[in-house]
Amino acid sequence: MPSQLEFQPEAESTLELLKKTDLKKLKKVQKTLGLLERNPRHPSLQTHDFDSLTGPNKEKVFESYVENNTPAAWRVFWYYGPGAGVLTIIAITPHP
Amino acid sequence: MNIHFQDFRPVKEDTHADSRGRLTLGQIAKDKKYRVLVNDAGQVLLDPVVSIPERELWLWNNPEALASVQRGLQQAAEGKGRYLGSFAQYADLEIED
Repeated sequence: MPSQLEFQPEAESTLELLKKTDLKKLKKVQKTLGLLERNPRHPSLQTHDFDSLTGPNKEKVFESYVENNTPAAWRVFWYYGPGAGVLTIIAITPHP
Repeated sequence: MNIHFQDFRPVKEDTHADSRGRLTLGQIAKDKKYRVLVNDAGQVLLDPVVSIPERELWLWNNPEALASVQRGLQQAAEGKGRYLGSFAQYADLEIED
């Protein structure tokens, strides 16, 4: 079932920055967000638990890949909630 | 390691380790993992530690990325998130690497 994505200002600011600096990367991130919205477990996202982080109410945090087969792939951090059918996008960040 | 002795408070006034050195600490230590230190006076300090899976170390070793995630989590705790519209139309984008 499709989800609604709720962006924290941190993630939103990364989107805004990419609009100005890297349109190709922006498209990849947008595609990732589109896939997340449709199906967070889509195989190309390689979504997995990120055990060393928890959400503000102890939510399990997940990491999804923006790019496949790229060593320094960008990542999206998110968790389920708040509420049913919502995913919170915590941050969108490059892997060094 | 910083040890803040002034912040210690009694949890149990009199507890006795069994013959194998086991103590029951109760809720204060439930499901936690510790490094155990002892000094010359025989005082034992339990220092909480968190295990980080190897595949997640990249984030903890990268101050910028970690700060970004921590800011996002803090903003989430403060309820600052907002809906930016649907991204579903981007899911089928063909993107060349």
